[in-house]
Amino acid sequence: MNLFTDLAILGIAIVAAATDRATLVPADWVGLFWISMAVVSIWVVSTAALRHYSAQSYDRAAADDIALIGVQSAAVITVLTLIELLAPAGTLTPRTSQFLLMASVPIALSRRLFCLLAHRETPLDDVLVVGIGPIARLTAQDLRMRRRHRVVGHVRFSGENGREMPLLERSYALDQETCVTVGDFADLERVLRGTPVDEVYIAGNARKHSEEMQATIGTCEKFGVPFAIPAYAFRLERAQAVDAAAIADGYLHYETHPPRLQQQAMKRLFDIVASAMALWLLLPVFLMVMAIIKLTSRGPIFFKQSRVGLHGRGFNMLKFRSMVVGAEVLKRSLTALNEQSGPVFKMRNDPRVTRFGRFIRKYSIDELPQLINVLRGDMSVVGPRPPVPEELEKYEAWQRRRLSVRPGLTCIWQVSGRNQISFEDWMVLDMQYIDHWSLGRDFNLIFRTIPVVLTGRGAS
Amino acid sequence: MNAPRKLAFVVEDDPESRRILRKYLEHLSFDVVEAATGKSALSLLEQRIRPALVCLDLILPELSGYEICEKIRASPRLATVPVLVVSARSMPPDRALAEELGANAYLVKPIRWKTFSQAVAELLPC
Repeated sequence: MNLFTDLAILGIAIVAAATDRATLVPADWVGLFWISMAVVSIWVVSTAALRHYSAQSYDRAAADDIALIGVQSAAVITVLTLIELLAPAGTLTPRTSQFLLMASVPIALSRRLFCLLAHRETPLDDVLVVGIGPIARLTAQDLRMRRRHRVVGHVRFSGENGREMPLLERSYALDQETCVTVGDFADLERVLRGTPVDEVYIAGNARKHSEEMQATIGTCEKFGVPFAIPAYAFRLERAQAVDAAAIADGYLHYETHPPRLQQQAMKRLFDIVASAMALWLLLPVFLMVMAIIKLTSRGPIFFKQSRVGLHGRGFNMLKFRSMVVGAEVLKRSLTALNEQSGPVFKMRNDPRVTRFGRFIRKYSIDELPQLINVLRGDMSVVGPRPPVPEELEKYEAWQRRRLSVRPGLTCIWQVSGRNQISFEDWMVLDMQYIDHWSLGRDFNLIFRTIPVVLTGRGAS
Repeated sequence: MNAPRKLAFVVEDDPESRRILRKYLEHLSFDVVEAATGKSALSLLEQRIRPALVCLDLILPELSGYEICEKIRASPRLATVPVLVVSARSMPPDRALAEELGANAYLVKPIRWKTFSQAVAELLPC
């Protein structure tokens, strides 16, 4: 995203520099286009060469950034000067000095601002460290320093008898933090069930803890939790890793679904753009539905239901209220009438649904407010439906892998007949989606969802 | 002269790093003995000297710093000598390995006066 901001600023600067101040219109669009292309390509090539936008750049000092921007501006200016010198008379050329001011100052500012915001932001990922020995202590220290991760706790390997504990506690105390041990190795599954964890660092000595490290990997794979193992498990004296960028923190990182990083970024971008646009376009529908709900039934417009999202983190999922107030309590008295196998409750002719509620449920209009969840990042457009907490407690271990991706509005289940499918099959379909995910499949599912929604097939 | 000056043993193959370490250590009133290879370091340690501090690079010709660290810890005469590792390797697993082999402190190159003097002060409180 950073690249796009910088490019936008560059573009504006070029146009601004080329614009004749008297008339306020650029004199020569074709010339302008070619110059823009040249500038943009130089920028992209030079920044790529310098890894300006690489994922590891977040902890780079501000001084580094300024140096980089200096180098890049120099490259851009060189090109502009060349154009100025070589271009035949009469061709439009941006005034170099003007361009320099208009581009470099805002870019430097935006980067400074970004750095400031990045530091103030709460850590992005909650990390569980397996181990309390030297590797674990140094890893936790390194993670604290990088500020992007928060260590939610340590799990002890069985060989670690507590001799390591005082050292670990002291290292935390030096950073004015308290160290949390969440249990012994045998508790790992319980810990992962109870705490949202974005990544597990398996900080063990491969020669001492190999079996438990292997077991941890197995658990992480089953639960769908990303994990990291030390990249330097053996004593290396001279050898250096070839792809050092891949192990920037000394660990090799693994995910249990296809790690298509560019596509994942595109997916999030699509989610933001699509949900924002949809919310804007559907504004009249929203207003109408809100008015009808308010007029036909007593109670709030939105129904906030607590659901479990990515890596087990809870969030409030928004729906238009289609049931009478207090429906969650009534559900208990209706459990015997459940028509869906497994831990999910589904029922046709549910007596709790209001009349207008039945209509908006049939056409899935009640789900529209989830576009707000998508925009906020709790959800995605395509992904497994987020479970409610009680449902999750009844999940078998392998079913928890559903939480390894962001939940969505629609998934394979929704386009395959919905409530006619058993819980077990539904879980299998979700795993299939996760294991074979690609952006193309997502779009395919979106297009297949549209007719299902319009005909109201399978909804209850 | 006051009390006899303490002896620091610098094991480092890069002359420039050796020069900086000598400068820092002399500033901290150490006498400095240098070795440029693992083997010469080991023969010096085995026969003659009993330093108050060892500054150890990990990547050395012949014998590595890891091995020297192990040897120091295995020798009854030298087992308690503080070892300060000075290395370009900076990742947690590298540092943990050095620690498990018996290093007392770890500094990542390039070293700076402030961090170096702090580390030495922690290892050898006067």
